[in-house]
Amino acid sequence: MGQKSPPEVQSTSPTTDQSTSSVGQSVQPDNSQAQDSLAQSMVCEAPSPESLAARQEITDFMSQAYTQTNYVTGNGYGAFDLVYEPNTGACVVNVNLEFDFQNAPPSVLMKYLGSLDLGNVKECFWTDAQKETFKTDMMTQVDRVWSQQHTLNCVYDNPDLDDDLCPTWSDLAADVTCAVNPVSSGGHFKVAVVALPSADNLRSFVSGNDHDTTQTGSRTSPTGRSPTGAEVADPNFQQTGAQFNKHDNVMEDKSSSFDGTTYTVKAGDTLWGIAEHLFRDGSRWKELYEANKAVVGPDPDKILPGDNLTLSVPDTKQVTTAHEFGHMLGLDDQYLGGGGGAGTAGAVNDDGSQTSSVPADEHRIMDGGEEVLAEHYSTILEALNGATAPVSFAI
Amino acid sequence: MLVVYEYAAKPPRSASVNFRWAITREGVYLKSQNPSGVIRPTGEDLYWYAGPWQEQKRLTPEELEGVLALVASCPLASARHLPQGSAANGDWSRLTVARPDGEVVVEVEDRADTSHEAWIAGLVALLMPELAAIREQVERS
Repeated sequence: MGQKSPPEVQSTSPTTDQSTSSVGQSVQPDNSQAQDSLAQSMVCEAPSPESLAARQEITDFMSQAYTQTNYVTGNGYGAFDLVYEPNTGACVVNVNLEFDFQNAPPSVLMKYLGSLDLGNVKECFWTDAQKETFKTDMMTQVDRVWSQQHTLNCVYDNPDLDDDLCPTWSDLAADVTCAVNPVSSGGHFKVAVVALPSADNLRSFVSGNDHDTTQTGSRTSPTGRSPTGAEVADPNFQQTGAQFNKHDNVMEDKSSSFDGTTYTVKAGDTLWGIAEHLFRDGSRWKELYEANKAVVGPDPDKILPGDNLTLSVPDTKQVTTAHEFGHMLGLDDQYLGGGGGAGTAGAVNDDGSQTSSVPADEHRIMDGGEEVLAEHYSTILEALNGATAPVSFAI
Repeated sequence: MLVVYEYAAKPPRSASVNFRWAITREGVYLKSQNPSGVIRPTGEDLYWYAGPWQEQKRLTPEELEGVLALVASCPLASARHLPQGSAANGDWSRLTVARPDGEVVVEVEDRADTSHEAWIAGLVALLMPELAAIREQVERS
């Protein structure tokens, strides 16, 4: 940045001066001091070398893209590519997926012996059109559920960046798009997609903890929390432990693990407070009360410690492929009985997340719902920060 | 039982996908499918079924003869096939065949192996020969 020249200061001609004395004669003002002061204030200081370097640092950062190719998450479950372009803010997370479309296995076809329903049986075989529809539907559902749920903001700072120009580090952000990219070979995952009527679905799952992470060190730390992932130069991704069903792109109901369970009232509890805790919605105290009138009695304000309230919890709704995509990002299940941890309420999984401890938690994408919370972007954030280090981002 | 096949999901709350079928020595085909929404009770075996066996069909003498021949010639060996990395949210299947020289039990976790399916395909071809034509019709559509 060059040095600025002080502006010309025009002298005031006596004939144009507007000042007049009380008797009408013009007065020549002495403005030389004002001119000196003005001139001094207009002199710009040269930017320091540190300031220049700081500006160059951010300019350089923004001039390139940052990538992670075949990034395997610390727990070995997840694998994806990531590309971040600071100039546009676009951050694309791609899972390359090989689809292995399979007709219903003989063990399932045997279910129709003695009750051959032609409609059901036809569902056990794929047409080419159905295969293409499955791929595009999955791409649509993953984008709908996972993309643009959280913005990752740059938290890096260089105090020497003091030139009042744009951008500054805090202006930078990553706007995440998640995508499935169908490939014919060399994918991060290979998924067997089984043709079946939805009533006869097999278990849908992604088994990914055999991704070759030997180049990233041990897969789990002694405390159970996995270390940061890394790119794998020579991936070994031909695992076959992933299975979907033909109708896994369709929204379906997921039974609550808390339905029919009981909550024992503690001293100080109110129905409103209990509903707030269980459902994150205190106004649902009425449902609790209606379902437990026989226990509580005629006055909903009079609940007693030791009262056992039975919970009536409706199903949540979820598209299975969107949930399974979370596993491809390296995330554990968060429903009771699932996950890398004990699977009990509130247990800590291998990825550091917790299984659901109250019904409200069941709306999370890695339980039975479709809420993508900040915790579900943890591996994306980890991968981004690995690519842009020492520049870092946070949600 | 001559043949028993059992399928089960690992997560307790996914027990609605559990099913099993069997063929008895008398030629009765039985089946059991867990209803939608059931959750495997704590402490129950993985292969948990909410309801009893239900008779679906009685095999003809010719069909039973064919099944007995397939059972006698079953080439499978008892084994437990495990994947390279198991999925906490995956599944298990178990095929039990009462071969004349001894029972064969093949258990498979997370689709780690499909050799047992090739043998079951023989049962399907014998007992539901019409499926081949249906498959062809669908794949050509």
